[in-house]
Amino acid sequence: MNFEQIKTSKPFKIFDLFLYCFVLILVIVLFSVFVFFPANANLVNAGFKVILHDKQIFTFNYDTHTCSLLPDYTDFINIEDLGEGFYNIKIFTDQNKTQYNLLTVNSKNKTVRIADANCSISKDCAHMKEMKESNDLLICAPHKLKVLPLNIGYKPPVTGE
Amino acid sequence: MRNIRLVKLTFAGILATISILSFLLESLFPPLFIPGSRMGISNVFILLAVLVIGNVYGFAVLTVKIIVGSLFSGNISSIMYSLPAGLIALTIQIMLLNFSKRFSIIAVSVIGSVINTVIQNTVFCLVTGMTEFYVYLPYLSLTGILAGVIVGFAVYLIVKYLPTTLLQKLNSQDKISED
Repeated sequence: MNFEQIKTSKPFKIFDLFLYCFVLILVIVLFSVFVFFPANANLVNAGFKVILHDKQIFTFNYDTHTCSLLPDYTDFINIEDLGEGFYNIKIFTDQNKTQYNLLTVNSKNKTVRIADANCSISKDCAHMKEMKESNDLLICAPHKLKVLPLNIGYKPPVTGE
Repeated sequence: MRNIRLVKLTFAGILATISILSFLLESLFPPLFIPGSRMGISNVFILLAVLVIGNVYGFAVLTVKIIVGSLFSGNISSIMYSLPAGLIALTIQIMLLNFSKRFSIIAVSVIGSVINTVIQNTVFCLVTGMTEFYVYLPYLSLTGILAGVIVGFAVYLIVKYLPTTLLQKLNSQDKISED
């Protein structure tokens, strides 16, 4: 098809339905993963863990306000206590400490989000919604950093009498 | 004698430049609903290159846009998953446009957008090992449909209202002479 045919053609043709049906089937197949692999609603979100370059370097517990760090990374993580359960955690993701991600923790609401990063001009990680549920996650792909929930404990399902 | 190839090359360069600029401009805005989702306005100029000056120039504009855009946006590693996804999606779009004239440009754009999203997300998860990012794929495919419709409509309107004489000159295989 060239531009002359597009000039004289309409924006919609009947055979487009085949393509749209293919797209619809593809979207349904992709969403069906959530049906076959549902989130475990009984897990308790007790904190979060930070995984950098496939290595777990940091964990934080919302209730006890305690954290654990890998010994090699103590110089690469700065924790700032803002009071009233709020913390800023700056994680340097490279050896020269030029690349970073800034996590903001709200231990009262049991949430954490990436507030800032210098990964790229789009900063997709900083626009992710805060991690609250046991199946949420935060990812910074350029820095190879993942923040995953620390699901400790298990709340039993409510049963009727 | 003015060689039409030089005119096509110049036009391809202009389209590549505008494509890179729109890509960088889009990067400055927050993502659409889902992290990593964009309108893909830069793809308008890639499709235009395919329709107006030819398939090879379309591939060239796409490749230049991805490489230069990744360099300037500071995310060089994105070339690994953007380039194969873009090339495959554009190949499928060109096949649909050339081998069957029964599909509209908007439907072809939607298919290209969704396929680009799926392949890009899959390659990203495989290359980085961050398979958790797969959870965004269904939602990214929905925003891909929206982006495909917008890009397709934009290309349709541009081709419809651009002067025919200009497009014919660019599409001509013959050499033209100066008077």
